[in-house]
Amino acid sequence: MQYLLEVEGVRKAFPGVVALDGVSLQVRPGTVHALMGENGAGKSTLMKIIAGLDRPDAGRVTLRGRAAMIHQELHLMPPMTVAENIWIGREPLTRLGLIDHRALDRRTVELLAGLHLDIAPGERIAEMTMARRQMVEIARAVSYASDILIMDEPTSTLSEPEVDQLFGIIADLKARGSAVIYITHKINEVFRIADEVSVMRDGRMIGSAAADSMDRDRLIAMMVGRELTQLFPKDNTPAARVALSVSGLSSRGTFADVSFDVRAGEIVGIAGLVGSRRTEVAETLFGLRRATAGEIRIDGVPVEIDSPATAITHGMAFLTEDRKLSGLFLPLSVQENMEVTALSGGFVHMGFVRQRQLMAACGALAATLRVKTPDLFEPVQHLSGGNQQKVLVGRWLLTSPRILILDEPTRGIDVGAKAEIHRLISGLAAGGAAVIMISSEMPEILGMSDRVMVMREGRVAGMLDRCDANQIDLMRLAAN
Amino acid sequence: MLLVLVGIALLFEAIGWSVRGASFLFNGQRLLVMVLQVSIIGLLAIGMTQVILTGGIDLSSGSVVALSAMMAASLAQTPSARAVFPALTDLPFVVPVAAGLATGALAGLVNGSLIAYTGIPPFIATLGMMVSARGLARYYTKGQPISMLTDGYTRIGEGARPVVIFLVTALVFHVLLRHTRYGKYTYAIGANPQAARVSGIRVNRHLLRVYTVAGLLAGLGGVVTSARAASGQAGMGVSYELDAIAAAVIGGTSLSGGVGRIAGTVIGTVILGIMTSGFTFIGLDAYIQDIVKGAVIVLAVVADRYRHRASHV
Amino acid sequence: MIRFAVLLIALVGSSCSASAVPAAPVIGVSMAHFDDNFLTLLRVAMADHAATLPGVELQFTDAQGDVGKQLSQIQTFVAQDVAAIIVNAADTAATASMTKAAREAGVPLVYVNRRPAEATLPDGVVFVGSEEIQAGTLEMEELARLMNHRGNVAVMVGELASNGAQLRTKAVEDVVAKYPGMAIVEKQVGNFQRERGLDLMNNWLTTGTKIDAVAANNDEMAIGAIMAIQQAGIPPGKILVGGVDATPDALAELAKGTLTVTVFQNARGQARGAVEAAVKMLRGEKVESVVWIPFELVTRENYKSFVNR
Repeated sequence: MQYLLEVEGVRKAFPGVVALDGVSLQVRPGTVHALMGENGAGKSTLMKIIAGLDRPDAGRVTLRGRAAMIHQELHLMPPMTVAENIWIGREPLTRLGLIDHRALDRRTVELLAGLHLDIAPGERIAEMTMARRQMVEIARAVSYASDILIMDEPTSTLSEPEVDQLFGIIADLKARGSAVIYITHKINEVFRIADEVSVMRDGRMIGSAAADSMDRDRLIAMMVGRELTQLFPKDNTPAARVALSVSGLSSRGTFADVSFDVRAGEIVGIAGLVGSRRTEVAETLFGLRRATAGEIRIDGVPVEIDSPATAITHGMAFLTEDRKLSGLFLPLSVQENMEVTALSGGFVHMGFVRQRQLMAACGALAATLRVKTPDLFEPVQHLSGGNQQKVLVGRWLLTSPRILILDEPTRGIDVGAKAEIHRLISGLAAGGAAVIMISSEMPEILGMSDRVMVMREGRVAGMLDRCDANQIDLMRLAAN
Repeated sequence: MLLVLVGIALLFEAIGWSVRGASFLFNGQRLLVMVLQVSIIGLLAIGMTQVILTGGIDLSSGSVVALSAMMAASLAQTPSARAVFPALTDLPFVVPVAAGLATGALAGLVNGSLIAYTGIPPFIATLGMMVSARGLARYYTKGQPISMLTDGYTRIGEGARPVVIFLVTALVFHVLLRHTRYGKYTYAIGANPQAARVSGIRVNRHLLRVYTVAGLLAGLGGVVTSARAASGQAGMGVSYELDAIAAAVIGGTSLSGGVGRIAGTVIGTVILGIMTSGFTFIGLDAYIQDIVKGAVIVLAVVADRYRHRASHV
Repeated sequence: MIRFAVLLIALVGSSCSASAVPAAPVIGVSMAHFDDNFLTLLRVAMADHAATLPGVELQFTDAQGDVGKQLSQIQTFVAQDVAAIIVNAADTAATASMTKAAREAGVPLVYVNRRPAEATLPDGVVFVGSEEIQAGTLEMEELARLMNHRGNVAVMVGELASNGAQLRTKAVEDVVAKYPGMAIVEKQVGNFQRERGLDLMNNWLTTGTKIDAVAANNDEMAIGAIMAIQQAGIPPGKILVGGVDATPDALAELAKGTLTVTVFQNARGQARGAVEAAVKMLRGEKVESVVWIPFELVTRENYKSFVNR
């Protein structure tokens, strides 16, 4: 049978780094081909070349048909509607040359219905959740009648039922004869949906095989190059002292009556589906949102947190959910991104910054976190997603926080880096910090937390102890 | 950007030889005059650079120059003049200087407050100040110029002093932007205001500071300009803000914020000076001058962006 | 709802009262600039003169150099039913539409100081001013005489769009052409601004070309040139400098010997003439189509008599 896509010996180099070193890949029509690998392995570069957005330095790419890419960061325009986003540049026109809105809506409804999506053409992207936005992105790619759809970490913002929906769409696409290149780091998904698996590491193709001929440990070994025995190390016991105490916290119209404690050295996971408002609670704790009721106490003392600056003085830190939106300073360097929270105390003297000490501190942290970057002056936008996340973790570590709030800290990060970050978080907890970790990955929450708080639609649905918690109970609390 | 400066200078040198048979560049006096005539624009450009770094813009600089010039000049008159304040003549020069600086700072404070605390876009807020300040400058003496200023005051604008003031100010702000917390906050806010807020930067307070400083520098520009011309006139500084923006942008400051250096702005300012002197030197027809100036500005920016793109992927 | 009704009634009421009761005749005056030194003298002189006339009221507007704005102001005056209009044109080449507007409404129109480009003005429209050519001629002839009709002349031109600047410059060029021993070596635009004159002179001095006299279209640029000459350490009188307007600052420079000559543009004379012409016309009297107020040469010898005019 003919291949839909053949990649032979592709090489691509950028100043200072060889991104692809003789990579080959074959994709057959009507299959799902999973592509795995650590961040920085070269997956994104390869996909860009396949989609026609970049050219290889050497090698050949033979594509029978068209390839469309759905990025990790969605390329939608928030102020516009679903229909406008999907058809932009290809709008049906009336005889006068104006946009035929009736035809536009009709086509959109047809497209969305064909994918079994419950989305109205007139909804505004800005008012939609990440999960539904992704559906729109997929619909758009499908509307281009592409033969190959490249999906990059598509389920990172989806809840379980939404993942099922996505897999249904993928099954439809397979039936039509299209192929899906499915980039993910979630091994269980690979086994659920992929026909074939390829693993990349450090710009090389380590191996490709049929999915059912692989097993979990072998896959991990191929990705990391070593056998991993444990993904989520945590071995300390939390102290008895309550570091953070939240009671009756409410923000009218968003969430209500949230109460929980976090002890020093404890990791409290917050689980929940999309729409449970976990991020909003975190933002309120950190002073980015105003609470309409409730009390926050730190070390037993009631505090008024009116801004992030105040939160930081109380020893809090907040790693946000969307690093591009509210975390990174994209035009600035790695150094400049890390140091921004450290411009006080010992590093600043009468307004002047002690640059050398700061650089040393940041350099040490970057090394500890194993941030892959040529040097500290590299513009942070050149780093891969996982390394960018590490830079942000580094930024907060510089403040030596006593209370750490993490919102999806390992989203879009490969296994190796994930483990490193988990180790770091555990280390911080062991050192006495109180950690709140919001995550949509059940295994991560169950593996890392001492206790898990489940939220549903703005309220606390339940609090489970580590020994009592399992995926089924969590899902029951989150979804009911 | 330095390359562009050298390129333009050499171009004028070549044309100059063919038109006049004399050297454009190898003339110490001319090099001084080149920078002297854009020193005030340069002062404004320094303040403008900071503002643009935060992702904003300040259209009021030129008008604030006029207002500050009027305020300062009215307190710097000699008794022989038809003084605005007959009781306040022959004052020591620090008084009018302080008045000029304070006027500028106050204007900047108003700009900053509107922008930081009411969510009005910088373009609109400073546009309003541009019109109001000019109106106020005209209203101050009902359009009459303020003349006969004290020697102590005009000495500030004498000879090469404006150049010195400009370069010293540039140096101060270069250090400020590179080595202080103030500078780092400025870059961060421009790169990503939301991320800056999350990182604990008090964004509103900082924006207030930045615009006040820009106003202060415009006030300084007003003082130097009125000292140099020995007169305060409500028509001073017209379109200076556009030249200041041009100088900053030519110098590599990005209008979307987060990118730019004072060193670049200084180069941009000097390029404007070279062009002004160059046009006079080669006797370019006045009608053509503005057209050429506009084209040069656009080309300089395009050339620089192109070089940048080539070195990154 | 009620507030709206009250507002409506008030508006209607006020406009009714305006046409019902005849008030003191209002003369609308549109100035090209409020912040130009000479034009301010003109404006103040007009106001002063009108104050001496019983029952005459002047209403001033600032066109800010904008042709469109000025036309709107004229149209507003017409709509307000003013008795007469005085215009200090922002652009003398664009006066046709203003003339038309005033004529169609039957409102008497006086152009002051800046002469409209039209060759002949219709009935009911007059020009009161000074002949710009005369200013340039007086200035340059005196400079030429003091140079013994030999040497290099540098010309500082005013605003490009200004008819006055163009005519004065042409006059200077014509005078220089008369004397074979004289030549124009530099000619640049200074926009009537002092600082521009300063920068221009600085640039010229660095080229090393010998300049014996600077003929500027106005005093402000001349003063700028003087400052540059002073700062270059050249003794006063070595380079002759001429200006136009005879502003107080210029007279002070004349006294010091740094300014060689200026030309008095009789602002008060023009102002008086314009107001008188307007008043005459609204009374139905006939006025000459062009009323010339002569320029007067001002030198070191006679400047004192111009100090308070």
